Order: sequence, then structure tokens, then C-alpha cells
Amino acid sequence: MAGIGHKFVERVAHFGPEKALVGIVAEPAEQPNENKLAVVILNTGTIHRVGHHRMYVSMSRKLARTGCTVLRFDFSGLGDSSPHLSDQPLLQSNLADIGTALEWLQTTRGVSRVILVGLCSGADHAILYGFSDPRIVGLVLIDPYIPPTARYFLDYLSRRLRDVRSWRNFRLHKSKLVRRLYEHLSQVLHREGGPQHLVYQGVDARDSLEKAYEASAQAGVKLLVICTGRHHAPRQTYREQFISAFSKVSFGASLHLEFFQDADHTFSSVKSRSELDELVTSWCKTTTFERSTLQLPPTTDIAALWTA
Amino acid sequence: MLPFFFGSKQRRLYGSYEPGAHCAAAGAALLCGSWGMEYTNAHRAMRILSKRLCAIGFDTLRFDYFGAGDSGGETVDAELDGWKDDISTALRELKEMSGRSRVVIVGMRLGATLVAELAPRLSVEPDSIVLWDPILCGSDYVKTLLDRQAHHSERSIDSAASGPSDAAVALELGGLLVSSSFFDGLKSIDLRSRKVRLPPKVLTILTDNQHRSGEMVGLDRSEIAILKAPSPWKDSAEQEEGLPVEVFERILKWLG
Repeated sequence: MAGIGHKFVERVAHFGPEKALVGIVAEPAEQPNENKLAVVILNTGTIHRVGHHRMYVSMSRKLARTGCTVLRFDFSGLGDSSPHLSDQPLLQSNLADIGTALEWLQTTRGVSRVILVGLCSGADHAILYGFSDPRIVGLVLIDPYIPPTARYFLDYLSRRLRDVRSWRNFRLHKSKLVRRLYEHLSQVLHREGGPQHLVYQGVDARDSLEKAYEASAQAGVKLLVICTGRHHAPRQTYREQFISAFSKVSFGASLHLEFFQDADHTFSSVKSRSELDELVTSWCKTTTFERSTLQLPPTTDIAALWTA
Repeated sequence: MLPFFFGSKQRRLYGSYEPGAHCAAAGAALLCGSWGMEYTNAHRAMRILSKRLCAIGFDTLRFDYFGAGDSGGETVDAELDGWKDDISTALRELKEMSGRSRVVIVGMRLGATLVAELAPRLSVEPDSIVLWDPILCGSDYVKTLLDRQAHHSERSIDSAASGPSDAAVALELGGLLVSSSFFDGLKSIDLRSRKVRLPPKVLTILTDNQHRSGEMVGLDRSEIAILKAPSPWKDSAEQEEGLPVEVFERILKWLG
């Protein structure tokens, strides 16, 4: 891989109102950041910025070795960051924190273009924020929320029916299959989103996410979507589910889709994390990031998500 | 709170220092966490414990061992003896930053085990030590990690992914690449039968039902408290609801 071997340094990033936000910035020791590009890694759920199995430390360092500036930080109230002072809803507070992180990078490092990286809820935050800020040129979405498709249901049913344990649980009236089917039906009927990701209260998650993806693609934001295939309770079961679920979106050349069939949701093996790091590093180095100057489509509908 | 790096250039450690509410009598508290996913899962609980200690007047320092968390080094660079040195380094740092004469240590899981083993050799003699569910039997602990790992079919024993480290042999444990000496070090932990020389004021808190105080020859000089409380180091799916408030309360009362 190009550039591996550059010396890098890690420094504490302490920023935002009242210096409430804490993170670590990894950057090349000597080489100036000539392309003004940085990567910002977001929290996964309530796990702090180090990530499961230290995955974000490893990813940050590998990216920094290739010449990138990388910030991993904690949302307000997570990790070492202080709780948000305002009474904003959690989602708005987190999205505001992303903006604050970008401002800090712009002020202290002269960064004008940013790639957001997020896993699960981190990916959800990234897509909800990315289209609205002209500094965002790329999104790495690892296991983002993907609405179920017909093939997903068939795959899931088939998998569960082959699993002897599910029959035992069924007999004991504890079947996850039944419960999950009920959940999905309930979601469809009530038009709600995925319980393991952000909860999109009162909005149509599929419709709103379609708009967010469409707006991102129109704005020229490059998307690297990575899905895993070894969930205990899978949200996606096949490579093309993302495209099927968002079939109305004109991704064009903006989308790069990868499916890690043998990786679990938190990339708990060294091998899968190593492959993930290779992919992300390579994509960041070889992709041409250029945000379109076209006017964004009206975002009033998408903005409904911001208040969820 | 002050996040900062400390230690030597070759062994940079990340720490979070929080000054306590003004109370000259309290002192300074060093918090030594666990390792791997236990460290990650328990991060919030350790931060809240730190805040609770600050509220009763302790200056606190939480830190990451070398090769763990935000500290320098890769996971394969971790060694238990090195981590004991890190505890001594952090203790000196805390003493210097706070200027307090009374220093206490709270260790959780592997952190508690390391503190217990290190206690006779500490450069700064602590006034009190709290050992929160120390790992008593390393071979049992390693077996648990390996059993869990066996559920993942994509296990790998792979030293090629370790990057620039010089470790001769590396293997995967708890989802992390570790050196064989780290692995052996974990396996050799034995506080059940091996005696350790503890200072006079030590509180051992046990929340795990599988341990009984009679099985802990190594810690038999300490005060034992058996509490019913959640285990914040467990995976979220295994955790009971809520924070281990009972443990926090006991620690605060005992140190206060």
C-alpha cells in the first residue's frame, strides 16, 4: 500500500464549548497535510472512541501512516467527553458534535475536506450528517441501517429453519424467529426504524434515508458501504441488500459496496479487522474526493430525521 | 478533566486526570482498569467511579496500559510486567500532579490482580488498595476467553497482521493479537494458592458468585466484601441492568 511507513504522532484533542469533547488526533509527524483531507471516526453505540477490540486505534494509525490526519473522538456524554450542556435531543447533540469536530480540524489543521467513518449507529450518524455539510466529501458506512427486503426475509427464515436450536426455542415459546418476524411486521406497520441502530421515531426510516443517500450522491459525496454477514441476528444477509433496499437512489459511481461474508458485526477477529483497515485505507488513498457544486435538493423532509 | 499523555517517549501512556472537589483530607486515587473487551465494556463504569471519587474529594487518574486503549504501542507489545511498571509510572504521575500525601489504588479485574501482585514493590506506598473482582486463576480466565473465541469460526493465529512489532510469536486471544509471553503471563496468574504480600489496608470486593473467600489464599489478609452487583466488564448482552452502584457505594464508604 502506498505511503505505509510514514511516521505519525498522536495528540490529545480537547475541543468544543467548555472543552467538553475529547479525542485523539493521529497525523503524520513531518509531512504537511497538503490535500487538506482528514478522517473523523465516530462512536459505535455507547462504546468509547477506542472501539471494539481497539479497532479505531489500529485504523487511525494505519491511515496516519499513509499521510492522513485522523480524529477519533467521543460524542458528548460518552467516553471521556462531558455531557452536552444543552437540553437537545441526543441525535441533534451528536450531530452538532460532529460539526464541532470539523470546525476544530479546520481551525487547528486547515482541514477543508473530511471523510466520516462509522459502524452501526456511527454509520447512521454519518449518513444523517454527511449530506448537509459541504466539508464532507466521503462516508465510510460499516453496517449502516438497511431496511429488510423480501430476499432478506427468505434468507433469514431459511437460516433459522436450518438451525436446530431455533426449533427448540420455538417449542419453548421463546423463538427469536417469531419475535423478529413480529418486530419486522411491527416496524413495517408502524413505519419505524431498526432497534439496534438509531431509533427513527415518527418518521419513515426507509423514505428518509433514501433522501439522505440521494442528497449525498447528488452532492458528489463518495460512499464506501461495508456490510458484514455474520451477525447473530443479521440485519443483512446478502451483498446486494443495500442496493435493493435503496433501489430508488441514483448512486451512480459514488457507491463502492463491500460485503464481509465472514466478519461479525464488531469485527472481532484480527484477520477481519486487518482486511477492513486495508480496504478503508486503500479507498481513502485512491478515491478522488470532489464535492459537487450543484445545489442540494430541498432538505426539509430529510431534516425530519434531525429531530428524531 | 484533563486528558493527557505521560510516561517516556518509548512508552507513552494516555491518562485522564480529574481534580477532586476541594477536600484536603481525601487524597488521590489511581484507577487501574482491566484489559481487552473487559476494559472497553467497563470504561463508562470506571469513569463514573472516578467522578464519584472526585465528588468526595479525591483527585483521580484513569490510564491505559501500553499497547491498550489510547496509549502507545500495539496489542502485541503488551506484557504483564510492563503493565506493572505502567501502574508505578501512573502512581508517580498522580502523586506529582495532585500533590496529595494520601494515595489510594482501585483495581478492577486484571488491574486488581496486577495491583495485588505489585503491591510489595510499589515505589509510592498506597494508603489503601481496593481490589474489585480480581482475576484469581489465570488458566480459568484464559480458558473462558478461548472458549468464547471458539464460537467464532474465523479465528486466526496470525503473526503477520501484527505490523512492525518484533514479537517472535503472536496469537489471538479475546479478539486481540498478543505475544506468547503475555498469554503465558495471564495463564500463570494464581491468587488462589500463591500468597502475595499485601499492605495493611486492602479491601477485596467480589461480585462473582463462583469465588468464595476461602479459595483466595493469596488475598486472605485483605478485608473481603461479597456484594450482589452487575459486572460492567461483561458484554452488553450479558450485563445485568444498570451500574454497579453497590460497589461504588462500598468503595466510597471504605475510602471516605
